[in-house]
Amino acid sequence: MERVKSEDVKKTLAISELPIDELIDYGKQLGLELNAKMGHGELLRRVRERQELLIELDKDALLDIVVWARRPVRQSASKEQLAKEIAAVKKMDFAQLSDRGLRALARLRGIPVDRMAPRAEIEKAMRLSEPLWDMVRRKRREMLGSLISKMIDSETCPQEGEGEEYKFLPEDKGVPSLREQIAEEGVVGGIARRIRGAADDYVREKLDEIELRIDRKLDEIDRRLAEWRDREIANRLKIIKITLVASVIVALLSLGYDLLMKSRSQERGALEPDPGAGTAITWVADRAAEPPDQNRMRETCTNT
Amino acid sequence: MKPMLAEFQIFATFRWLLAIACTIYTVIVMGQTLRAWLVYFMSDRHCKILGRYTMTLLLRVRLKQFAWELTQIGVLLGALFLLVYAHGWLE
Repeated sequence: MERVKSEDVKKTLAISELPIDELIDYGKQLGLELNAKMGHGELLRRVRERQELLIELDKDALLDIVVWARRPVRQSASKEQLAKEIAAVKKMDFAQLSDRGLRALARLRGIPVDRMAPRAEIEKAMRLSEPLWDMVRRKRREMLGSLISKMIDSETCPQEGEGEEYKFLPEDKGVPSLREQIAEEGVVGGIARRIRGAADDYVREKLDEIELRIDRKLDEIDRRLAEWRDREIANRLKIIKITLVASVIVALLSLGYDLLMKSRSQERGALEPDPGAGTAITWVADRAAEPPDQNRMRETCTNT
Repeated sequence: MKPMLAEFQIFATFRWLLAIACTIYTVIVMGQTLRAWLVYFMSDRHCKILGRYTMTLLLRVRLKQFAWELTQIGVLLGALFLLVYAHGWLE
């Protein structure tokens, strides 16, 4: 009992020391909806609540859910492992699920369940709490599934409820006892093998842990880089949009100016010089195109 | 000489010169940047891996999430071409 207590304390301490991304990942595995905006304290509170709920729930009820959803687990699996399997279950057809399993599933999906509530009421509450997009996705998959199964194996596919009975995964036999090892390999060889085996197991477990952590970190880096890329693209697109808006405004002004000039020149007559810069050039050109005699006469007038 | 002077339009010429200068400048700067990145990504074994990862990252872009921005750009481009066409029609 004391040992179990100390292990619990160790685990709680380990969870509180986890960085936010790993805490979110752990919470999601247990079926919680978490995000980084919640803050470390809130995340920790929710994860602990889920752990407390798992302690409260009956293991047989969890096994009922796993059997109903036909998830491959060992009968000896811990509650946490079962909860991780159940978190991936999106099934909403509760017909073959036991009452205790239904209540446990409702609590794991975050639906408050009254102890005296009838089964139909719990099922209704669970259906109502299903997010819209999850429902749409589920229905779409159901439709596609029935369509494809009709097309491919309409005769070989067993009907619903007629499937093979669920079987748990075979239990791990574990290492042979020390007595057996000594009987097989002698005192020194048996003890050495036992110690080496324990050390190997420890190293393997630690290496797995490290690998898992590295994978998570790499995923996190990849996600952040993708976010940064998206932000950069959005900024570039915004700059292009602003440039285009400015160009459209300038083009509109230019068009308005041209329209105005055209209407004014139509009013005043084509040969009369305008004070506008554009028409001044036309005026100079017109003067240059005049016959030379007329030019000479004008120069004489200005000289005198 | 006289007809040439008569046809000479200072604003149109300025516009053309500006467009040509801007295009050449953009092409040169973009070429320089691309070349610099290429040289960097080919310089080292680690940089080569980085280059491949960058390429993968770029290929994984989901254009769907920029659909609204791209639509706006398309509409603005359409409006701009329409206005330029209207200028030609007015002349």
